[in-house]
Amino acid sequence: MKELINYSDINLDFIPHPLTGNTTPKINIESIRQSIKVLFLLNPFDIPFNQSAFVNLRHYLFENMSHLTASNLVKRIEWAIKTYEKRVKFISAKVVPYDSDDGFEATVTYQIKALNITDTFTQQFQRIR
Amino acid sequence: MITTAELPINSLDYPDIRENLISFLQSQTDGQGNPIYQDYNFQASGISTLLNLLSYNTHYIGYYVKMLLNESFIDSSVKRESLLSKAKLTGYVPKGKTSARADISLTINIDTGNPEQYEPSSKSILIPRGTSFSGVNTELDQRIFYTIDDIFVKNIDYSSAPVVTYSSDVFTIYEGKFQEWKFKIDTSLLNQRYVIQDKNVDIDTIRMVVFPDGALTGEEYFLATNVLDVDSNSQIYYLTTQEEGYFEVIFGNDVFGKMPANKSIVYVYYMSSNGESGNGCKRFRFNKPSQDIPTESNIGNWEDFVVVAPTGTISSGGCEAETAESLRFTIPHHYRRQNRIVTRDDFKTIIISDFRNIDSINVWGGEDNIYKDYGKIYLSIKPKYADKLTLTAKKDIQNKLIAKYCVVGMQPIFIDPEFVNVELTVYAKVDNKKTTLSFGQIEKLIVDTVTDYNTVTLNVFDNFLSDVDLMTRIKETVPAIKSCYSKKVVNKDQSVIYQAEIETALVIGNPIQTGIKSSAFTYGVDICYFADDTDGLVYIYKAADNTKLLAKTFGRVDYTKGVIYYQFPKYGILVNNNFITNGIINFTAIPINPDIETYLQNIVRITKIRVVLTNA
Repeated sequence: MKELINYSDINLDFIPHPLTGNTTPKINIESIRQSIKVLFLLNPFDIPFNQSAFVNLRHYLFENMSHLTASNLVKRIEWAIKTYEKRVKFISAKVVPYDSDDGFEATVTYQIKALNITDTFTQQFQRIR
Repeated sequence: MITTAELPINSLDYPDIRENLISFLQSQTDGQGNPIYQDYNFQASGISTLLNLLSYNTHYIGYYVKMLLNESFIDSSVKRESLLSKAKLTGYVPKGKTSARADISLTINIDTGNPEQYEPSSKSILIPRGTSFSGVNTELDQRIFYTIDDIFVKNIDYSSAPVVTYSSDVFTIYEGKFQEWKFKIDTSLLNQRYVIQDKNVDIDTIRMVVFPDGALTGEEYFLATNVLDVDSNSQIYYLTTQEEGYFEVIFGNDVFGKMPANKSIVYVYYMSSNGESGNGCKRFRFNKPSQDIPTESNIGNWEDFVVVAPTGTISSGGCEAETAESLRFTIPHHYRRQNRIVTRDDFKTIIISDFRNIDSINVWGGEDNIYKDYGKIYLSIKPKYADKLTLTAKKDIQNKLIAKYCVVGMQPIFIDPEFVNVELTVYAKVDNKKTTLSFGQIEKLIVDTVTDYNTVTLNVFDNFLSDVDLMTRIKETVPAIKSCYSKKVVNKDQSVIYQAEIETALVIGNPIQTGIKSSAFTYGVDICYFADDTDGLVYIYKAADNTKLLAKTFGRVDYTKGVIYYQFPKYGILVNNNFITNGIINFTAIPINPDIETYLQNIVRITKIRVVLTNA
């Protein structure tokens, strides 16, 4: 049975369809995950004329990864999802620093309202220099 | 099948562009009518991110394209630099600040009885370029003035020997700071530019001297405004404004003007002006140069100086730089005029644009005068901060502009503005039930209104005293006034040269009633005055008993035109005038019409206000 499409977003990977050559849209849960990823990487001024909207997790890569920093990260993620991703209900967020202190893993758990499913999205951030 | 709709492009604002793009995407459907993308409404979605980028890019490009277009036209330019660029195309050199200037003379007393003092062997004393004077304005604030040309004091008076008095002719001093800017011509440089990096430069005061390499004496270069009468040997320079708003000197190309030789040193002397703040100085003092002056005739060698300012001298002419708004007006007018003065409006435009200390100007042909004078152009100019132009200012206008731009054969004549003074009495009925103000307070309000009307509306050539306008203003100021009207008496001064025995016309320029009267003068042993009879003939009356002194008429009155023709008696002397050769006579008349019009050189102004209030 064909999946019911509630959400469809452009694929920012721009991978062409093997037959048509068109970009393939991301739908439903994949669409939401892509949005969460965009939010993680949201820099100041990415939303034009709105300099206060940012999460900017990459910026924290060069911070001393203490509990305070991790707590800050969780707060920023929670704020961004609650503000800009109205399709989901925020449940929790967790930031785990690497032992090597050169990165962290951010995990966010949320419920997709229209699909009534709970999903978890994890993204690793590691500095390379 | 994908359906498409038109993308609206009716706005350049970022939120509108984004909304338009969303509307466009909403219309994109697949073959079944389902939308291809749906997530554009959610800020974090990928498509929303792309929309942000697209919208911002569109907004950004739209803004710059619009700015570029705006700055391409005089009407819509915002940046001064753009207007300066447009000015270049029409050959117009925008005016920078202008220094206030004053005409003075200097007297030096040399006590030859004192062994330490001596007369210069050249019998002249040099006031060098850059000599400073101090002036004090009405707020007792000091301004510094300078000479911008060398002046030689040559008039010698030995009548008080052994004190010898050297006095100069009248010369002009300029407010601001005397500055020197130096360039070296270097032909090895590509596109060398000579920019005077001072935005306060008064370009009328620029003096340029070029010293060829190794030369001890310099060659003076003069400002040229066009390429007419210029050849390869003309020592001229052109001025233009560069992109930052500074003035740039451009030398000739050895075709239209001489290009200074390589390694020449160019000295540019000018006044760095304070603009308007230099106006209004009355008392001037000479500032003796502090250092020893090597040359024998230099003014720094003496001690006793007296600055003489002709009566009524006041520094004027100081102006701020042209604003963007002013440039927007002047540039097209300059182009239309094509560097010629033909019509009376051309006179007004060119004089106002080049001599911006002018408050009001009127221009008319000699055929409009009471005594017809065909083929001549009459100009009457009221400067700011003074009632009439100084002789130097008139010469300045004559030499710099009229002689340069006028059509051949056109002879301009300057007439000082004459003032028709109105003594105004306002009668008003006040409804006490509608106001809590006392009569004294109402009177003050009326006087303030009339004074304001006089200052703002009158005192210029073009504006006349409108009775309706004035009464309306009074009623608007005090709504409790039920009715008001005014009575007016006009008077006008005129200079009289004794023993001239010529008929003179005093033009009030408004219909007047019988019953004119002049100020008093002595004739023989009697104090007398001019007055008319019912036939419109002017006689001399005795002030003591108001009877005719002589049966002879001394003039006539044209009541319709408001002109009093009179001949001042040969041996008459005006009362309250101490001058030997001339005096000021005043005629008083009652106008017929409620409005007082201006006429040629007449300016209407209210000099006395009286208020009579009654209860309604």
